[in-house]
Amino acid sequence: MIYFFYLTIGLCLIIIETTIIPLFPIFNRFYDLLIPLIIFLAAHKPINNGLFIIIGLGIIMDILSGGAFGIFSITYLWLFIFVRWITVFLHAHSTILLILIVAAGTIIENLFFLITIVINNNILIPIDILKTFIGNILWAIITGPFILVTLEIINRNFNSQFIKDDKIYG
Amino acid sequence: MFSKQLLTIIWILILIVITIVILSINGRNQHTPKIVGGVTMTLVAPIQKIVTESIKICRNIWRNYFHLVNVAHENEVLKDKLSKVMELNDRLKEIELSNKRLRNLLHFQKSSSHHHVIAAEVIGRDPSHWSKTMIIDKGSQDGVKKGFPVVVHSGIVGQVVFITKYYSKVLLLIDHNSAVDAIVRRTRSHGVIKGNSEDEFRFLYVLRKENVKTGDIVISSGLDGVFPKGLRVGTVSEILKTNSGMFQIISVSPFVDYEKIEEVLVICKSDKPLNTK
Repeated sequence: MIYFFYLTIGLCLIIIETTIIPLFPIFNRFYDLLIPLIIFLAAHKPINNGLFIIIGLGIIMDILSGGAFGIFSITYLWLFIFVRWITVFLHAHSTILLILIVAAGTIIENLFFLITIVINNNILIPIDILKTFIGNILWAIITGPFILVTLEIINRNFNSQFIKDDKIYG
Repeated sequence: MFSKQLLTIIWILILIVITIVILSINGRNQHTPKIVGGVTMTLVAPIQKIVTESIKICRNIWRNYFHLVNVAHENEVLKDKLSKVMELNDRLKEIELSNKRLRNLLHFQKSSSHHHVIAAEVIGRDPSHWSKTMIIDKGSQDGVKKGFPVVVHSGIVGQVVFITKYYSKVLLLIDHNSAVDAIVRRTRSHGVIKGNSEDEFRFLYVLRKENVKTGDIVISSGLDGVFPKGLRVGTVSEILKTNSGMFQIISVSPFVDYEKIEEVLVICKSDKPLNTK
């Protein structure tokens, strides 16, 4: 049940970023909407729940994207590990973490893509990519905390409706 | 036997190795697994289509009822006619240039310019900014095959790279993995167009001696066996001739606005070789 629930949320986010966001030029450099979900799952769900969901969502993103197959799955996996590690030192609900963690996740994802592209295609970094980087980070700082808080509210409502025993990590 | 910390370090190292291997292999060979890809796209693409159609309906309601009804419709009709006329004009210019170059060759052969085309709608776009693809609502059932070129009236869009029964993924020409063999229409200078960003292509391997000017139109040469000859690519926007090196550095602005594509045409290429004795 929990797998289906979070996979559905992930699927909705994928649909939004592949069909609705491209329609609006203002969102031209919007970040990957799945990053807040990955961070949430890493901070609040047990490993066996979160890991399978994020790999599943990563595979879906790999199929829909034109990039190297596996890059989204690998990136989400590393993001999952990074967040679980950082929540050892910072509380999952701390304000600083909320504001910066989505931006940090965006930076990690972009770095993975950048390294893959530069190494495999042997090209210089065009200025357009730097603009994308900065745009992604700014949008992540502005909207990331709200998405994380929304996910927390959804999770709480889901738990109160369907789950009696839920282990909250972090 | 092993402490928890040591096990964690070992797992991290294994993951690093797996990451490097996967990204190195898959980064060079863009390959989508057929079964997983087919199932995924069959699940996701219909939802994308529903959302896209809903947005289109809302947009049409806005256009047709809150703006002037006749003006909007007439505008669409005129745009369509203009695109067709532009395409016809380009083809006629190309035919005119070909006729001027006719030589008494030993083996002069005609190539068929009659290709069957399939119209398709764009139902989804790449979720990442790092690659440029789109999903269209036509697949193998409609006759689409991997490698088919995709165009609009204004020029080349890209190439089909993955198909399922009902949907296909198109790699856009602006993607850094895309390339098309091209020539400058005026001078017939030859080179390769490579995707660079949303706003421009790089026109590579054009010899320094070639007299290319800003504003020159670049078209497909047909030599790559993928895109038919004469399809519009873009206009030369910037030329840089360095003091050394064999080639010029040329930027080309695309004719196609890749952000606003809603419908495309998939050119169905025949399996028969074009030149048969």
